[in-house]
Amino acid sequence: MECERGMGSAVGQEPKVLMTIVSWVKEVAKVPVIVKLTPNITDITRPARAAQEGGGDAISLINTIQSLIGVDIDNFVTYPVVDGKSSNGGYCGPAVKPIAMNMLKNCAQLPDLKIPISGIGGIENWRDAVEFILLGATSVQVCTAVMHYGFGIIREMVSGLERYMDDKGFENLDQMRGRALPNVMHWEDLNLKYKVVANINEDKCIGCQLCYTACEDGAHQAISLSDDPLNRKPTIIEENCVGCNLCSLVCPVESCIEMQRRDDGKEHLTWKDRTLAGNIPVTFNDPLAGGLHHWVPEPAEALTKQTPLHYKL
Amino acid sequence: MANLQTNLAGIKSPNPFWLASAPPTNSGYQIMKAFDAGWGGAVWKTLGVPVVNISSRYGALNYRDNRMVGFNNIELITDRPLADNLREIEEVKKRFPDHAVIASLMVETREQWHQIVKDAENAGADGLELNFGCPHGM
Repeated sequence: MECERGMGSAVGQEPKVLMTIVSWVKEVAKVPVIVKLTPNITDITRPARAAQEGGGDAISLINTIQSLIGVDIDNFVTYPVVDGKSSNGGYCGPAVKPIAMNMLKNCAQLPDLKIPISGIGGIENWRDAVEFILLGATSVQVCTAVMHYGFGIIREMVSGLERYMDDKGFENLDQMRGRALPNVMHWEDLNLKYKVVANINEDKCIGCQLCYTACEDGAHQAISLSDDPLNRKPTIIEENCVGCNLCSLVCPVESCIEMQRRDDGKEHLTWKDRTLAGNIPVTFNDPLAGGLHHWVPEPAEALTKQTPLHYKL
Repeated sequence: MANLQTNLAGIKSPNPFWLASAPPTNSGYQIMKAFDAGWGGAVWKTLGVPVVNISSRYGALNYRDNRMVGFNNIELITDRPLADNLREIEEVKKRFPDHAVIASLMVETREQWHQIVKDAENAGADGLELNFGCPHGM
């Protein structure tokens, strides 16, 4: 209802209007003014800059994301239900943290944005808070975790942050703020020569074969099974492995599958380097293009492949 | 031991952990309880023009065994009288002078903004947060 009256995210989505309202507030405000940004916008840096131009002393982000949380499939209405009807709402909680961190990074990396940032979005424990601070947050704000677990979670958050800072030798928050920002780059600035491959620790492997199925169907067919039906432990086919991480992500055992470095660390070449040198591939016969040094099975092999042992026949 | 003192644009708090403007900051009771538990600051649930909230208000995304990995709400800004909120801000600041109390604000016209800024400052708010999200969660 309020949006139609010119408040809320209708304002937050229009940087010029936002700037005007911030300047109205700054005409009279004596205490610092934080401008809370809506994430329901293509480029969060535009309202961030507008907040600064309007005289805002800080920004906070993110507010909630427009969402439908689910559908009651028996009564054909979305949640939460109000007398048989519903409406879109605002999404928050642990699931939005990656979106919030990306928007925080986008603002914190702006060279011309000089005002501090209060980070919001899915923060539930000290580690989440550390991540936000390393990405440039000066303070962090919490809601959903308190609605779930109560105010008591603060004890662990404070002591965990203190312990982390002591371990890392940070005496105060200024020393740790934004420390991850220089390492978040554009894709074109990443080292094309860096090469990792998966390694399965046989002592830790429980033989679930989740990695085999994931690699076989979802990645690069770089894991094989033993011909011995009593040996359920898969093996990495290193020459096929592109180092994508998928097997290590699906593996349910901590540190069982680890990515090991194979390049010698001496070479550094980025896509931008190649572009500037006029050296981007023009044929697929390029060592870095998909057609070379990357084996794929013949299509018909799909019909002869052995059935994984855990598939129901 | 590391020093957690936080200063955001002049708003000071004993640690960087603030409650966001939301249902947990609906009342002075909740914020006093939170400060007592160790929270460093709180952004009061958004003050503005009178609204009416409905029932029900929240939905949750459960993923397998985990409840509430995502959360959704259609609750508006505070539906409590402005005077009550202002009086409680004053009371909280009196009891917890070193904790950060930030008033979240959302009104429409220039005159309304000017008035509510003065109201919040007179109540003792350490800072203001302008809510540019939709009241029912955008």
